[in-house]
Amino acid sequence: MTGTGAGTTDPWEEGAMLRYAIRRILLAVPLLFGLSVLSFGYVRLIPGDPITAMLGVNSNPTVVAQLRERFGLDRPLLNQYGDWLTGMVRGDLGVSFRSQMPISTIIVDRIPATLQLAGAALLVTLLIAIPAGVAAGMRPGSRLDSMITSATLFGLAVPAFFLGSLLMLLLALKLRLVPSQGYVPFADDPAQSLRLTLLPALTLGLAISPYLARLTRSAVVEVAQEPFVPFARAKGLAQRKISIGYVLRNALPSLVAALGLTIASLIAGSIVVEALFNWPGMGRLVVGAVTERDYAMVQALVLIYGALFIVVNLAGELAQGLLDPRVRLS
Amino acid sequence: MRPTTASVAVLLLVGAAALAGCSGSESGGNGAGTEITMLQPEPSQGLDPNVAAADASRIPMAMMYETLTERDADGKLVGALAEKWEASADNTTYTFTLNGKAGFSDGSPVTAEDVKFSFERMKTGDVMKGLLSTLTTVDVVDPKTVKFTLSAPSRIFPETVSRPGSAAILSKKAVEAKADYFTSPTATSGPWKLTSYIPKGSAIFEVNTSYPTPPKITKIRYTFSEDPSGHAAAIESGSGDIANIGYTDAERLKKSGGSVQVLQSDTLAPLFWGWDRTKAPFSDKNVRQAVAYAVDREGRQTACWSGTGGVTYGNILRPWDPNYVEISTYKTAARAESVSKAKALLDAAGWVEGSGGTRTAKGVAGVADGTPFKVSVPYESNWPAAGCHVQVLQQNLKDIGIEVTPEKYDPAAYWGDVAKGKFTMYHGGAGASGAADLYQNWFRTGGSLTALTTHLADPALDAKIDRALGAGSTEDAKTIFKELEQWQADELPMLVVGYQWPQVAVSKRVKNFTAPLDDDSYSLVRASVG
Amino acid sequence: MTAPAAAILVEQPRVAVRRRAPLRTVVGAALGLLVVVTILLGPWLVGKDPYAINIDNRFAGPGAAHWLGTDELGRDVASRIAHGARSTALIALGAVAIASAIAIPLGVLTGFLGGWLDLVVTRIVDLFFAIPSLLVAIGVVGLFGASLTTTVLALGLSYWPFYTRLVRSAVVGIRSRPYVDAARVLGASRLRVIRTDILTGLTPLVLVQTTVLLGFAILDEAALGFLGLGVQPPQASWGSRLAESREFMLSHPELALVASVPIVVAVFAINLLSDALRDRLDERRVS
Repeated sequence: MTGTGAGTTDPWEEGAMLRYAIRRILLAVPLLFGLSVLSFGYVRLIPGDPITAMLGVNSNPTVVAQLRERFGLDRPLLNQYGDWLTGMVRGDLGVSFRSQMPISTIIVDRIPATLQLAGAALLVTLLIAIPAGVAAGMRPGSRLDSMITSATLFGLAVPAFFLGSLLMLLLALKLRLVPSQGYVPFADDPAQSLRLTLLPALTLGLAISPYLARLTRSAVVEVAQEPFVPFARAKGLAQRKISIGYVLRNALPSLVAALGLTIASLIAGSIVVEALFNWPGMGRLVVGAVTERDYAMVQALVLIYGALFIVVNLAGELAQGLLDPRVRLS
Repeated sequence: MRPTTASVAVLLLVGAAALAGCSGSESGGNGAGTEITMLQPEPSQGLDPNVAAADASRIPMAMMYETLTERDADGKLVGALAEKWEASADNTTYTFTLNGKAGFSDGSPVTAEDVKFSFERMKTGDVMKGLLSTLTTVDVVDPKTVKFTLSAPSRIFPETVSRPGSAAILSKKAVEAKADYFTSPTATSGPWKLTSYIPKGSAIFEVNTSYPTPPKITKIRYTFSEDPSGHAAAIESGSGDIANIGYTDAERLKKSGGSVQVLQSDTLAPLFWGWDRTKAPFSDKNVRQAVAYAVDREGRQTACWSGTGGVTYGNILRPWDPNYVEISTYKTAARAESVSKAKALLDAAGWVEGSGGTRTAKGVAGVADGTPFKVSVPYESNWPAAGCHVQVLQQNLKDIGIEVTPEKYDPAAYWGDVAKGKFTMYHGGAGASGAADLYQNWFRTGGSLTALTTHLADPALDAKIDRALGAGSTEDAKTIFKELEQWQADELPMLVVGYQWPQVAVSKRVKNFTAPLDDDSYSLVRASVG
Repeated sequence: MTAPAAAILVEQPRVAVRRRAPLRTVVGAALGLLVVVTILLGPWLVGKDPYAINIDNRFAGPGAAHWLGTDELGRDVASRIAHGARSTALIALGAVAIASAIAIPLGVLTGFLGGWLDLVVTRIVDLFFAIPSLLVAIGVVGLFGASLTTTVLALGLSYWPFYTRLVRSAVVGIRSRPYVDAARVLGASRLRVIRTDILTGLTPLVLVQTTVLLGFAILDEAALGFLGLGVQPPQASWGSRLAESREFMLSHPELALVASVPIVVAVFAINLLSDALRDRLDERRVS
């Protein structure tokens, strides 16, 4: 499933690409089914009744009973699961216990904010990690490599929320360059929306850069050891031409796989960063849903996170196959 | 190496340029003109005034639903949807005349029929049921006049119908049209209407043009934020305009001076310890009094509120309340004296000093001998001062041999579990508008907060409260309130030790905003952006 | 911080071209020693009660009475960090122990035996793998409520899927080596093969992986603390100290800075050491 595990089988024969893709997509179905059982079982293990938690003070028994009936909580577990699953297949994710709004609406509303932060953070990471990883990997063992490696090891030791707090203190309060937290939709006020994106994107991007830098380095090291590199150097090709034209191009398939892993870290990192900057993305939604015992919401989100993971992996593997003819031909 | 350094340099430049470009375009504003951003907790109990009693819900409800009367900046009761009102000589019937200009956000007028519908609905809801227990009928006299008949005299009925967010006037037509109306209420009577609600995100309020005195702030981005520690930074850096902030931040902002307005409200908002008086250890008045002696009220105020706010040694009412007469039962000359008094009371109650420093039971009814005096004290996890209070309590009670374990609690489940009587001792705080409101809502059987604070159900006490509320003269009322104050100081149905002193940070661009009283939106209506 | 990301630290130096200067190792060892000393002797060296509140002495600066000053309740910061080191060490070791206790037997059995057991376990691992590890941890806290014990359990349970997968693929690799085949041909029992060849072959991976996970556990403890789901106040731990002091970040940034130092130093030391350890083991394998 991970980008690194693809080498054992050999699905990349001529014309096998499409069949392979379909097979992988079909393989995702039992996984999603398993996730649905897992999340359904999980929320029912959580102590405390979701309806009384939702109503709080006024646990009026008649209202509680009405709501239990409305959400189908008075029915046998198997029926509840069946209803949920059939609804899910029809694209109906159910109703959030807490806000009583359709979950699909709630999630669709958050897609812009989630993508905006993820995209901006990914951009920051690419801008930092790829140059750093290439620089280190081109000359393994050099002083520059040593410096970059130490820096990544240090970067991996800083808690993301602390890094974010420091950036907030520095950029928002001392230098007054950007607002400290919040979100405005891009369509409402593009300038303010971008300003608000800067701090969380920088934090998340910096937090995951060490991972991608290390992955880039190892991909580059591997390619740089191939005989054509010293050959090109001997022929007097400029270093820049070698690193960009030859090494980077040859390392691209591994880099794409690395990107898949990076996006997985990004999804996890966003949980903390969204909480810190009050960013209304999926991460805040899922933490809230678990702590508020919003059954239907937890169920839907676990599935969505799982599906996201599967899609990212699949895209990474397919792109890797497309980019690397050697893999296909061998 | 050279090319990569160059590319890094280029990227840094691009980044710096982007930063500069972004920050240069506007100076910390929040979009155009009359739009502001507020940071507030998400209304965790929804937006049905009959269901939601927590501040988090009442604040947005007060923005979208108006009441018949309200309090102005000086705390004086004035008309809101009602233009004027008259009481009968014996204070048993009240006739309200509606403001002719008042309209719901869909443009339809607010009618006597809507008022009747709203009050009949309120009488069935848990929030107002207790307060309206004496309300017998609501009659429509004409489309703009409505008459309330009470079974017992009440001087404070006009005050009761001012309860922000809770005594809401709803559109009969709109509520009846939709079964799940309160998920996203439309056609509302308040100064603003809700136009968007994104759970765990934000709500958008836009001005209700049919409101009699339309607010100058036309759009409010009501951002949900459960973490007040970032609020001061948000206001300072231009991410928001109005937010409650912590005490250390308020202190810092006041010192630095200028860039942000810091307001504080003097409302009656007791901080208290609630306890389960149905079983040991707190069924024993001696134990409750021992704890009352042992808590270091001033120390706590210093530690958790930077020395601001107020403390009390017996009263609940604040010194400037017309019904206040000082009670200082638990005030002593020195801490050592408080501790020794507390220890003596615990000895008398049968909780004797043990070997490990924690007291153990010896002849306490319903408790096995040798049981250590340990209590887990929960508090709402999204309230930083609460965490501080419980830790100070832990330290204070350690001095007298009681072991307290602070327990951070899910705020969404907290008050529900309090109402269910799940906790032996718990942390609490809530607002009230005055003596009448406090004793009616906190002490009377079925009062809107009784199940969360005093857990009382005492007919004799109810009768006394009713007499205070219906008293012919303010002097008579004062005498009864004095008795009530003394009774609660001795009996300690809950332990009030101080007051909240909400600190609100407001950005410079917001003008004329004063700290809101009891969650009302009145001061926001008068505010403007300049 | 996330399970997939942990792979990076493990797989990084497949190609160690030159022998690196040992400076990083020395720095790592020195910092690591400092952390171990703090855990073992810290509370005794500081000699103060980490829970004693002194309201008249809040936010005091560093000095002879309080080496690192006092916090928002007037408690001694040095003492809270020294005592917190023990909670944090307990959490990290406990979490890694739980993850190892699940992952090593499961990975060895499935990798060695294959068959339907392998298939089923691999599917289950895939299932958990698809959920971000921090989310798994949050889910566990949702079940049992936040506390030190829950934190240990939550982190342990969020690391096992990734770890199991790693062990399994390593075992598959070792199983196909010629000497393992030879041992089996020569009639060694399965148990014997597992005990001698597989476990010996796994040792380097387990060593590296254990150190790497210790670092993740320290960071994740802090992340849970930040979300309010970690060790609960007033109990001292590094993560809870950093989360608490963050609330006063604007008025007293020095508190958060001081609180961050032990976490960063410990994890940095662990990263340096695991990097060095892996280099050494790789070199040995190559030579």
